[in-house]
Amino acid sequence: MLNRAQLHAELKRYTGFDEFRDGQEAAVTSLLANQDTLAILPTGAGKSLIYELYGKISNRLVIIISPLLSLMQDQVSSLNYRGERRAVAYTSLLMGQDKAYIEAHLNQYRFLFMSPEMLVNDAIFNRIKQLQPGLLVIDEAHCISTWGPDFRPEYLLLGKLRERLGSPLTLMLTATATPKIKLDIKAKMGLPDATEVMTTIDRPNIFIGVQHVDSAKDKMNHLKQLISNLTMPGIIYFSSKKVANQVAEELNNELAINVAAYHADLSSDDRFKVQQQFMSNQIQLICATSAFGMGIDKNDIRFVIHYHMPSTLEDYWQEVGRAGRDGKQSVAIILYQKNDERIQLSLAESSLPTNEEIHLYYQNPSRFAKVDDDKFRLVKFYATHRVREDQLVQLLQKRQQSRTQSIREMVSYVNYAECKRELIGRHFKATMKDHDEKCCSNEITSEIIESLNLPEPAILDTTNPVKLDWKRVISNLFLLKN
Amino acid sequence: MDEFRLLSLLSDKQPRRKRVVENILKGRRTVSTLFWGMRYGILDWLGYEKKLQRDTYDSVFDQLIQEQLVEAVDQQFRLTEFGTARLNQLAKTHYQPQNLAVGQFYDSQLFQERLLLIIQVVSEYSFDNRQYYPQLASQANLQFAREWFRWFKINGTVDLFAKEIQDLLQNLNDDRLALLVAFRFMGHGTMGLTTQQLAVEYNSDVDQIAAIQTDVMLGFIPRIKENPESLLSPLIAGIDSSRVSASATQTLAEVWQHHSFKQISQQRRLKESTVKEHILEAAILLPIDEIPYDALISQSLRKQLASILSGQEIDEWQFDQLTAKLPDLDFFYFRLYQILRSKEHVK
Repeated sequence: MLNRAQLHAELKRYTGFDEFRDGQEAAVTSLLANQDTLAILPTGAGKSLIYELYGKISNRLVIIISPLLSLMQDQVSSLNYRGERRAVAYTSLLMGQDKAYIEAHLNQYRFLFMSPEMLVNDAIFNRIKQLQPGLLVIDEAHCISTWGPDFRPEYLLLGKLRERLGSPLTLMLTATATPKIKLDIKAKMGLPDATEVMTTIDRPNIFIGVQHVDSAKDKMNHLKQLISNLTMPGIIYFSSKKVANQVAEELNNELAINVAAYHADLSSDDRFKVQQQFMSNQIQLICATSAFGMGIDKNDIRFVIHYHMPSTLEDYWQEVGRAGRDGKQSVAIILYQKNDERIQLSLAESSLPTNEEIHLYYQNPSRFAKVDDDKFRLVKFYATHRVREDQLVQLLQKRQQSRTQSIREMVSYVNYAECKRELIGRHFKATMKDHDEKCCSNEITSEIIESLNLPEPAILDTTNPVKLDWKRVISNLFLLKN
Repeated sequence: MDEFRLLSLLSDKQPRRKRVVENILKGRRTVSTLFWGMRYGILDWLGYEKKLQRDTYDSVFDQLIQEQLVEAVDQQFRLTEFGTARLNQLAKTHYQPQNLAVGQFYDSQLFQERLLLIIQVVSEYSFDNRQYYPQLASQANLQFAREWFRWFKINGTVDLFAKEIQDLLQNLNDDRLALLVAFRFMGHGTMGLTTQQLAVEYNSDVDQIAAIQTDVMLGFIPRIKENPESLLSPLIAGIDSSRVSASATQTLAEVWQHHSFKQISQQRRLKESTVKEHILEAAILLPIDEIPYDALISQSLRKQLASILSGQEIDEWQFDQLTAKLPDLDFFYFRLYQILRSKEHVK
């Protein structure tokens, strides 16, 4: 066991940092003491450093279970960026030969990222078991509680899988968890006694607000007004890819800023370009779906606007947390038109199987052998895990209710007339800073924005590449010696 | 899929089947699709739009019919006079892929990913930077890039590399195309432009831009091949992909070794009909001298078929018409003869 000075020396050696950020040290220390750990650290707190450092110190395989393919890729990229090449994402997107390559070289990796669905695969599971991983990391561990039951039932198997792996030391990571979710995560992982590491969830440098609007047109006008008052760079979140595209186009045409849309329909090539352009301030504003941001390491984002509100306060707080990681004054605003929640409600309803669909499946499962749709995948999962039809109906009913409940909470937040921050604190059972003039508001005026004294905007990279000719592009690309 | 693309895949003389054109674009490799794709001369488009939606295709098609650019002939379709005129007019402003055939013999995805990756690697290297986010690429290609880079540091220089890239673009003899592709490249401090950004700049659409970039980059492959000294030569090693499926290739090899259909089907546990489909697939996709036609179809049968079918267009031959005279004829021989005659005709 390392003492504190040794631990700091290791930190310096591997990362070049002198100091840990809040929560990191406690979590690494807990792991080094061989204690299973649930770390609840805000977005941007550097959660990945915990397992990275542990992996380097212990020099054993670290398995990271992560819900999103794009997130895994981002994490592998940032490990690569820091010079760690022995990191790989083992995902369903891999081509046959790539999969085979990784499987054949499994023992050469130090950091293996995978989705729960991939871990369920027997062949790979047994290989991993043989390698005796030193640490199992469950990233975005709230998925065990919030996503598990419907979108990703495999999350529910993680507890059992962990046991079958020989109960390796386990780190559960999440940014936001209510006390209920914390209990649920620990229970489902079979680790009721896991050590909890928590820092404050409050982000006192982020002003949070809601602007109620009367119509789509009104919303767009408010959005434009806000953008002209706020300081770049920023992110606007949407529930719909189509609307994200439309708004990005309109803003690009009408305002003197560079805007790009970002969502799952973009090619991976274009997604990478948008990310890099945003990081290097060629693009100042991103119109994104929730796919954007998880792996973005940009600390001067000055605002996060929600054109559509998210479906839970957990998601909301996570997305808000992408602003102001540098600690400087930043802004988060929801633009809300009455009944906006209908989008979320109908999404919540249409993504779960109906009682009739469940019944059809249970009557004759073989008929659905070839159906590859999320809903049937879900029913099939429960059916093959010996859940009876009536149990499943009940389970999904409860699930539906709790999702509807979450959306209602979101609406209550939007309509809450008192201190918004206080309500967030109550939701997460966390202490928040006291209300002051830079805390929150239910109406966003130019005066309020002005009074926040936002820092100077990031300097826009104004080289307009389109004016270049191709020879210039090539010579800019390579620092030619002649 | 747009009006221009669809018009360009139809003919003013030969009526064509709506679903064949769709299935060719989607890359469906049934023998019937491949056969008619060959007859229409559109096999190079195989798999050009793998994600094409039926609704999108049908709506473009219906629109063409409504505008009387396309007319129905016995459940098949042909360009009208207006259609031909519109096609010629659109061709002036639309990019027509030049390197489709290259795409049929090489894995274009793999090649593009490799090229983009090593451009980034050399660019960062030229600026002495080691800390950067590598572009998204498959594991195999990341590994390839590492090995290539080790080789490059010994055998090449940044200047030579940049010169090669410059030459590839110069050879296009089209500054606009060269710029479109140059913007796809990323490297140190160069973030490129997305297809969306280029679409706005060039008043085009995202799919067009992506298609042009892919096509131009495919054209690099034969140029790299011409020059064995090229620093890019390692990029094209192992990226050739056979048009014929592995299983059909094996079947064909066995036929060349005089194995009977029965032997092949027993040894490989395939249905005899599958074995025959393999041969038809290979016959459609490969040059005439790579198929043992003499062993497959006797001269006497060829003569019989020739006399019954004489004077008819190959497209119009009907199997039913033959069975009246040759009741035991297997469809396989009819189709194989049809392929053979098509290939001889082209020759």
